[in-house]
Amino acid sequence: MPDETKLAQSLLSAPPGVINIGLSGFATELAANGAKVVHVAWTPPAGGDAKLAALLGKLGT
Amino acid sequence: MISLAETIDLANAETVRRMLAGDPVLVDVLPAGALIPALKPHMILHAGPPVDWRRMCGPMRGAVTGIAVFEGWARDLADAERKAEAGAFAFHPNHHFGAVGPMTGMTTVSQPLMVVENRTFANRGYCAINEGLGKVMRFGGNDAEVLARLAWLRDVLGPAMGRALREMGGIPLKQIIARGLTMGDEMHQRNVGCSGLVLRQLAPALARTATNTADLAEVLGFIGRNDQFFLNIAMAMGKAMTDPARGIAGSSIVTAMCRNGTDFGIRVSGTGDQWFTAPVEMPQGLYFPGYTEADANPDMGDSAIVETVGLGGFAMAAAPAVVGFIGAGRASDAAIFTRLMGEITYAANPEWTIPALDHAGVPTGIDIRRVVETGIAPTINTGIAHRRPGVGQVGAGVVKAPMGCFVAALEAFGRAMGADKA
Repeated sequence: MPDETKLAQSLLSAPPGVINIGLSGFATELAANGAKVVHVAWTPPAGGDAKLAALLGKLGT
Repeated sequence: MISLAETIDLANAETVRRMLAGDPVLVDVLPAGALIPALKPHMILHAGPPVDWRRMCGPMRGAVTGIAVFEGWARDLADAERKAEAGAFAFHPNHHFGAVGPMTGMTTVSQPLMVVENRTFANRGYCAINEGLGKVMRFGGNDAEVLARLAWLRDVLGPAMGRALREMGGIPLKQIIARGLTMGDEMHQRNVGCSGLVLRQLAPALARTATNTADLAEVLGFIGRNDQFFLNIAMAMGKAMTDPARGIAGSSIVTAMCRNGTDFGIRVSGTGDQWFTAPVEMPQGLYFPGYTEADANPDMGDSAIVETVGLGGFAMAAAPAVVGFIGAGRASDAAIFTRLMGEITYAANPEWTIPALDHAGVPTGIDIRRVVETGIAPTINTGIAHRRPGVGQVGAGVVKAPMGCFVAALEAFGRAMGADKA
């Protein structure tokens, strides 16, 4: 059996391991239901303000 | 040709180099009028960015009326208030005169100021002496007890400290901060270790230069009882360390953060001495028995100069005990605050390290680009004043610098760099 197929089967048969990025509510809900979850705190640059993000793009960080 | 980002990086490296290269030494205590020639009678220096009487918060007004009576410019508090409304006093930020002041930050001609000399750059920073806890002018207190203590600081403690410091040749501060960080201090809401270390060095010189034993005993007792005595020294040190980092073209590093109870203000090296302000936020914290958030005044004081050099909220990991005192979570959360501040700063200070973080240096040099990009606001540890004049401190907590200051600063910085046209 090819490795990809084994991996796909294990994803469906084993309990999920989740990496959640952004909104923490999803991670909290999954954890409350017993799922293994790692939350990554992330927001869009400058809180999603396109004008500020463009300025930061020019100024670099 | 180097890119805009590379130009900024070079400028920031120089700004932070100057901050880290400072050699601050506590050298003297003298009357403000003798140290600051431009400071005249009827001038009142206050904490934070510029603010006039009309927009001053309750505790700031309380301190203004108290200091006017103390200086003999008004018969009583009511007379002082009438005179303030009539424009009899000139108000200016401490920062415009090489000084800083905690909370309301009153500085007037006759008050004794501690002098921190930055021997690397031959500049000086000034700050008044810490008054201790309880009813004090920095929290807006202004009754007879508050004014009597100010008179004692002016007539007894200030001159005694000045004599002792001159006789001993000053106290180098970098080493004291380094040791304080290993003793659980973050130099804003916890100064137990550093206050003790300073007293240990100062006491023999105080004894050698004392004019009488009763005053000496009172001076030693006052400093020894005051866990926050070192805070004002750390503030003068912060001012002396950040001033040489001002005005470096192309630098996006913050050189001052302060608040006046109405506005929060920042200065950025690459935009000179311009203030960028936004409405100040309310601290989140714990209150003394009998007080609640309804009693609290929004945040104030020049003390955020310690966060500007990587201490206070930025060095929280050194002081797990303070996390509980200011209601900021569990002791084990202390490291999270310091790591977050590492996301918005340019460097770690190799001389000021935190044992609990495997001796990582305190995060230093707040970059306005990183603050706006990440949305992570500088964390400041702070005392909380009652909103009414004359009451005093009601708690301690944590406050976030408002994002509006940093957005306004970034836009102005972008214009200064020509990024608005590119």
